[in-house]
Amino acid sequence: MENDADIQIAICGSAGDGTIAAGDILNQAMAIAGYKVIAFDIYPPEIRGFGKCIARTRITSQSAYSIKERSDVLVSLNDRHAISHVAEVREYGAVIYDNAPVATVAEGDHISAHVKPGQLSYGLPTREIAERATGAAKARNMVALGFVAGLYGMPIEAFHTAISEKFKTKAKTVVSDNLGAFDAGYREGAATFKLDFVDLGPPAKATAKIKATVMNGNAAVARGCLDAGIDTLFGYPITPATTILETLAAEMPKRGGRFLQAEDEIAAISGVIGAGFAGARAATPPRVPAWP
Amino acid sequence: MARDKHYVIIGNGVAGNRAAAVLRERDTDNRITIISLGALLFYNRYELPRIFNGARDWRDYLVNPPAYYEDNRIVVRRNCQVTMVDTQRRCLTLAHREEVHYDSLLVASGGGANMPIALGDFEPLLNHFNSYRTAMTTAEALPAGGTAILLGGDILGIDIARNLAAHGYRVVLVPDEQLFWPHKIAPESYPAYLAVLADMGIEVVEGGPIERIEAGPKGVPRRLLTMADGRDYAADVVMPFYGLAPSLEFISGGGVDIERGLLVTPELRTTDPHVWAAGDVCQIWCVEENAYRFYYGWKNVKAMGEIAARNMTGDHETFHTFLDEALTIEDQGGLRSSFWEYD
Repeated sequence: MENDADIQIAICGSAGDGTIAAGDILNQAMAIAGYKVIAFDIYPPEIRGFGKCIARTRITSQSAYSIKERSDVLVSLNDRHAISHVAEVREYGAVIYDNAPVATVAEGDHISAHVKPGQLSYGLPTREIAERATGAAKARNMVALGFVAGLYGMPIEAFHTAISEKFKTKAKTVVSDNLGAFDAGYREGAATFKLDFVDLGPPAKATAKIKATVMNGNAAVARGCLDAGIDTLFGYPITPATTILETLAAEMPKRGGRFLQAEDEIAAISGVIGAGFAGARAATPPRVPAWP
Repeated sequence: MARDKHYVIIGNGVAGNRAAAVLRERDTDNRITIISLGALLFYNRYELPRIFNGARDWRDYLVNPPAYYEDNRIVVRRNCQVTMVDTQRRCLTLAHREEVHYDSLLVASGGGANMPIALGDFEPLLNHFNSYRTAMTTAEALPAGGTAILLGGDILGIDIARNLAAHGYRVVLVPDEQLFWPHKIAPESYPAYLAVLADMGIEVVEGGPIERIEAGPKGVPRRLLTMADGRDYAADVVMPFYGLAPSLEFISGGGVDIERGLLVTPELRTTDPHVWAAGDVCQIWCVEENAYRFYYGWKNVKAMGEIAARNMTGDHETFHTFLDEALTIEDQGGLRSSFWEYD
């Protein structure tokens, strides 16, 4: 339908930039606002500060079952990683980036050098805005997210709810700093003269009072394990599998099952094989890079 | 392996884009980069008054489709502000702290709106019409049948004024010595030209300087202009048209000679052998007048871009204007200006 919402936003940064957190808040906020959301995150195999993270979110008013091949918007939190993803942005889509990096940039290393003629770009000093809003640059992911929300007229209240929920277990200043950074970015986005042809249509009208559930892949795996009635889970907790283990470590004992933390993935799969020989239904959620 | 030669063009208007096209025709192998402060590809500013006809999609104003740039391997760096040119190292610095090296540089950064110092305090209350964004902002602030006050009255402003009047807007013109700029009108001829403006439906307010411009109480009217003699005029928008000022702050102190614009020879070469200039940013040595002078208008500027590109690739052509710079009153009563013409 002509006015259906269907936009896909890719946020790309380095581990530690808050890329996945920003994507998660976007997912939650748009679900709260009544949209259908499907998302796919890519984590790096390295520990903080090295690898590339991408959080892709497709926001629709009708059900969608996959991520689109082309994104409508790319947000760069780290140009070194994001440059190779500029080509995935469709014609008249948008590339959003930091235009005030702290260090000098080698020729061609800034993402503005790679924006295609048919794409639009928006530069904003995310680091400076975050510092003005919170006293530190750490929340620049929230500034960028706020800019996206302001530029495309997304409902600010839904983001406030999602941000508060995301950081509810942290110190109060974490919540207020993230809200402050988001709002500063939102004001920038709302005040920006929009030139791209990315439009967020309205959410689908609710036909029945059904509580929406937002579930990520790890939660779905954990739920599947429980519904399948596994007896034993072996696992080595590390990103991206940690939350599967956390969920099942808490839930399995309640159902008479057992969870055993192994010293590595080899021990875990050995445990699964052994349990299988003994007649038990067993599983392990490995991180992908462990078994190349 | 030798590094590719890099032609860098500062400016994404007529001169810069014509130069890029000619450079590519004459040099199929090397790098060409256009650096632009604006967010859009090259569009025709002369057609912006069509916004009042409802043409509000910027893609309608593009001179070349996006694919043209990829097909011709012309890189357009948009939203990039040049902050400095180092002619010794042949490199320029962008606001986001990236250095871009060049072998040959063409400065075609054009001109920004020239503003009288006395109006500086009122700048936030003024509506410009020199880009797609400012044109859209103005159009959105101007309701159907609304009132526009135009200040100064350079020839680009007169073009907007006649378009607004033709579309049913009330147009009030507060002229100053820039009226019809860059045309030069003999004082004794002014009454005839003012009569033509009146025939176009443009109200000309004469008599003294502007005292102040204010936002209307509670937003209605949106603007209130008061003359020094106490007369005041209400309007939806106030638009300044006081001519152009060359945009060249980034190259001040960069080792090239500047007067009001970049000084260039008739071959459009600056005092640095690797830097050329074209368009509204440069003053060209005019042998006939024994002085440096500006040349305006799409056709002049386009010719400059072409000649600069030819000379950057080995030719020694000189620029001569072929435009009739007179402002003509047509038999049917309208005005004809060569500065309104484009191709």
